[in-house]
Amino acid sequence: MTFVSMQPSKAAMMPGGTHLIAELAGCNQEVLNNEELLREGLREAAQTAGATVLSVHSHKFTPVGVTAFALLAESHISIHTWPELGYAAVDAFTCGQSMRTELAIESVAHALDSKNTKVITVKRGF
Amino acid sequence: MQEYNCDIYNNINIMSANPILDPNTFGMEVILDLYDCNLETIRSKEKLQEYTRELCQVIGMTPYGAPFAERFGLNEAKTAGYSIVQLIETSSITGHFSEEWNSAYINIFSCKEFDPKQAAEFSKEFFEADRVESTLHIRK
Repeated sequence: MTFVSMQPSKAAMMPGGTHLIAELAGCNQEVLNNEELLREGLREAAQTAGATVLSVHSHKFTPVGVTAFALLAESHISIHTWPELGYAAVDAFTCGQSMRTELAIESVAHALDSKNTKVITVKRGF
Repeated sequence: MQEYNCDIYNNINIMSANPILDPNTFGMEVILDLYDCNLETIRSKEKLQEYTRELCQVIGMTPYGAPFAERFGLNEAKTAGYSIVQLIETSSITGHFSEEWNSAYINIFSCKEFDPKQAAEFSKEFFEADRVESTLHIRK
């Protein structure tokens, strides 16, 4: 897994949040198109990272593709999938210091059987 | 560290050239951090729902269903505030709002191209923010 950091501007250097933007390639195409598995994957990712899930939302597109969200007490994790290309765009945004955001990405990458995961870290100011 | 071929722009004012997306990209994500917002606006569920509706119109997106908005993060003063999710036909809009800091944290992700500057300017005006930190990320 490759991580790249984006530092916030000085104006944004206040106690804040971490937003991980992950590109997952070479994923299991069946899992990418399975709404229930993705919802479960989000719950597991949140639990792994030490986050509290408040609600999960999802939508399955026609003919393929799923968008799924876990709203957390600490912000959110989202997945947008392109099963036909084996690709998923994953975002994990958390505020505060209590959550291990990178573990959420690792958990989702494992659930999707991602062969190539690239992550960008964006620090967001509060 | 392996070089990561990505496109990130921290000042969306430079992103006036179109098209932003090409056949090798999956979509675009605009990250907006808005500071010193109107406190009444970010505390109002109705106003936040109005924001996602109007933003969709401004940037040419089609909402899918009603926005989900709830007040969360009450264990810490700095995290207390509404979160909102609006699914759109081409992905999603999310927002988190801190009442402690009078700030808003917006993500607009779409595989259909839109004008990030228009999104930022509308959001700044809607929330009456004094300052906006913006990032455009091309997903690929």
